[in-house]
Amino acid sequence: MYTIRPQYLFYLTLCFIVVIITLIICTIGMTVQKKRRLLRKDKIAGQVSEWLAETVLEDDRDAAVKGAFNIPGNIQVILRKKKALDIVLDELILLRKSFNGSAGYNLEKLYRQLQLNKLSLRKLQSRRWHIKIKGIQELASMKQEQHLNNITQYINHSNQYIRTEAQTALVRYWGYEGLQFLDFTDYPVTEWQQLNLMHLLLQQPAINDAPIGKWLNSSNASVVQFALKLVAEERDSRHYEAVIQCLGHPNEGVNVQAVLCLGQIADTSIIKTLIVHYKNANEMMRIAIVNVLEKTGTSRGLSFIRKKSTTDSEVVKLACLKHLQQHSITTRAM
Amino acid sequence: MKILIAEDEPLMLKTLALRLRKDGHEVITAADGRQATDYFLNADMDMVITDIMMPFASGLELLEIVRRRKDKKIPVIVLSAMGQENVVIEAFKLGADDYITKPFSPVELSMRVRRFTSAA
Repeated sequence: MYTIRPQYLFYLTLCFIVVIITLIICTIGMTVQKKRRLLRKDKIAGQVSEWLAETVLEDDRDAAVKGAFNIPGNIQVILRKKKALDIVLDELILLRKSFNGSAGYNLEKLYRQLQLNKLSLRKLQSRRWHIKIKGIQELASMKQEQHLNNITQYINHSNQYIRTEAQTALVRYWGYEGLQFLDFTDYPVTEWQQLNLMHLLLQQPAINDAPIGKWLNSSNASVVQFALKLVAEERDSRHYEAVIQCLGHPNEGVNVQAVLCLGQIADTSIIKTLIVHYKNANEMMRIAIVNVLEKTGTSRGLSFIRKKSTTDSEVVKLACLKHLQQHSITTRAM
Repeated sequence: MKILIAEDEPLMLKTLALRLRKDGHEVITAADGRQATDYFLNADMDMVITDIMMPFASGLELLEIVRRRKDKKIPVIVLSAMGQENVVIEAFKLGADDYITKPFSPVELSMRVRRFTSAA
């Protein structure tokens, strides 16, 4: 039988106790350090908050006359420390998310005056992706036009988070103009990112000269899909022919999106084209076609759906029946 | 006018309070929903400006408490973030008088408060 010598057990227990004590000391040390850091941050934030609030609310005209904001001596002393500048930068970015108008302008001006863009640019050099992203967000939220190239260089970054953040930043702050990245992006624009960009664009004024035609012919299928969403959203029938072409695109997602887009921009004359494409379409596209046909509400479209509700695959039949039921409810209600 | 501002972002709170004080209002600030509720219940406010997302109690909960008071009609302005349209509708259902979507200009808030001041 295997036996353990008592002194081994003693040393093992001793080691275990030492490890536990070390862990406890480390945890306490880290907690104290974190607490001290937070307290220091709160102290500095408290010291500069009054001055920041005053500066943000400064009248446009006064600021224009002065050229630069007045920084009191005591604040200048605080701002000599890099830590304080980091805290001020965080505060400015937070405020910028909440304020626009003259307050937003003052925040951008103060950012430039304190040369906080240097800190943001340094973050872009970091090897850690989340710090890089922070740098991108800071430059974009402070609308640093001169550093636009610093953001644009990341639109094709291999890291998805950095890439999408750069794309989002461009669209969030430069609206439709920011969509220029679609000309160069090699990676797929994910469904989530497309939704995000559409959401941001809805808050921006639409422009007529966005090169949607070019994006509809992009070699990147996700860019074509996104362009189709833009056409559908803006009901832009100028791209009708290009959208029809997308029905024959090798990418199935593009086909489905083209059908949905046509449902938004075309009139009932599209029924014939959709029925022609139905024959060679996959299930997803067929369901999309049935969806659009039902929306047209024409007798030709409905009789086609009725026919397919008995002859197609189970999934398509189910979709057809749902649409027929929906149509009969709507008709009865009218 | 005695105004209660509830906002969990300290600098934002300070800036808004300063703006309204410059307009001549008496401003009480609360850093979270619970504090705001306490202040509201213990002082006679003429107006409430509240953020929606706050720790401990949301702006909507505060709004409900404000509307429970029947002896005085207290205007409530809700500060919402972009994409919170559903919450804004909910706030109107609960009796909010106005809302501002972030980002906004403090001058705009000042003007909206003035609208209620002149109506009072």
